[in-house]
Amino acid sequence: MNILKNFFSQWYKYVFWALMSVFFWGWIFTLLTDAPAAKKLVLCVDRPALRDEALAETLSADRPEGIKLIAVHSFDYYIFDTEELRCADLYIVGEREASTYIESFRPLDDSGFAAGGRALWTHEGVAYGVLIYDAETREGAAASYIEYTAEGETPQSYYLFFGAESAHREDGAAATLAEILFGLS
Amino acid sequence: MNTTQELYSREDLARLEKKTKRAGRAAAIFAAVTLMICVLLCCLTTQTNAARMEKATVAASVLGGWIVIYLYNNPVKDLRYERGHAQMLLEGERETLEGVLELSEQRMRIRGSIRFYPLTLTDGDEKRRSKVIAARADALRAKNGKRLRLYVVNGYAAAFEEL
Repeated sequence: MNILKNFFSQWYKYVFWALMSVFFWGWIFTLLTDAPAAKKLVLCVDRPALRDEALAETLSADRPEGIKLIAVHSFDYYIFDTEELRCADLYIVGEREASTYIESFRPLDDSGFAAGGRALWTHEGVAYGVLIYDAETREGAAASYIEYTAEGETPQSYYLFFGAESAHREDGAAATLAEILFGLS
Repeated sequence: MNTTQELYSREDLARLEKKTKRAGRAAAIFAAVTLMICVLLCCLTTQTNAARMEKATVAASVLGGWIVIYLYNNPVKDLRYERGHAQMLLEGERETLEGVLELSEQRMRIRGSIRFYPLTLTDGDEKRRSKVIAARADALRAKNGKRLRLYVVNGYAAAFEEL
């Protein structure tokens, strides 16, 4: 009873401490786990329902040589830092929104990735994206990690794009990660 | 023969000092243990378990911190206030009040200070107000309605004598 009374009379101290803990340890863990762009691959997915940690863990099990960290984030993660969003290595974006981010994408020819017979997303005659989720068949890669279509939502196809600012075109790490991604169920 | 009953003695003051130190030490130990757990979790962090470890560290930090805040707000601060007042009662200049005691049932607290009960001494038409530290109120409560001589320091009862 006394504990509850104290909690309610001094609630601001407890709330302040909780907020401080979240921000402080968040900052410490960012310092501990982050890696420089040259040793990091970032995949941004334009879906809110995403098992980002599980996908990152699965991709990390087979990460390309020289890569220390594979990060997977939904676009919501970058709500306060859109500049960071521009620097991702790979993107998964729906066909309806893809043209909005066209400046962040690298043409497929320049990505070092062999699309094979996969369907492509083109803009003004240039291919940028590779089909990763087909709205018609409702099948796609890494579908156990990414909920491509939520209930009540009009389905759309999703494409994998390569980042224009990616530091991993030359070493082929982004293309390798894309191949691993296509291999996931 | 009437005897004066002191509310605090030198032994009480020494005991309060000891208890204050012990409570302060307990809060400090709790804080250190919390910090050690958080540092240990950081040391065990790898790229693959980072998200889980961060959640565990934040949880440990929040819970440990809340316990430290509680310990510091209650036992430590309360004991410190009581010790300060006890010292004042023992060393301060006393004035004497006489009258029939009426001790309030309602405990009060000055923000950032001690808990106390207000009391009134009625001597004919004259009413004199004072306070007694909550931790020592029981000694006076037994004398409610009786005529007392009260020794007061800075408005707080330091000793009494039944008349």
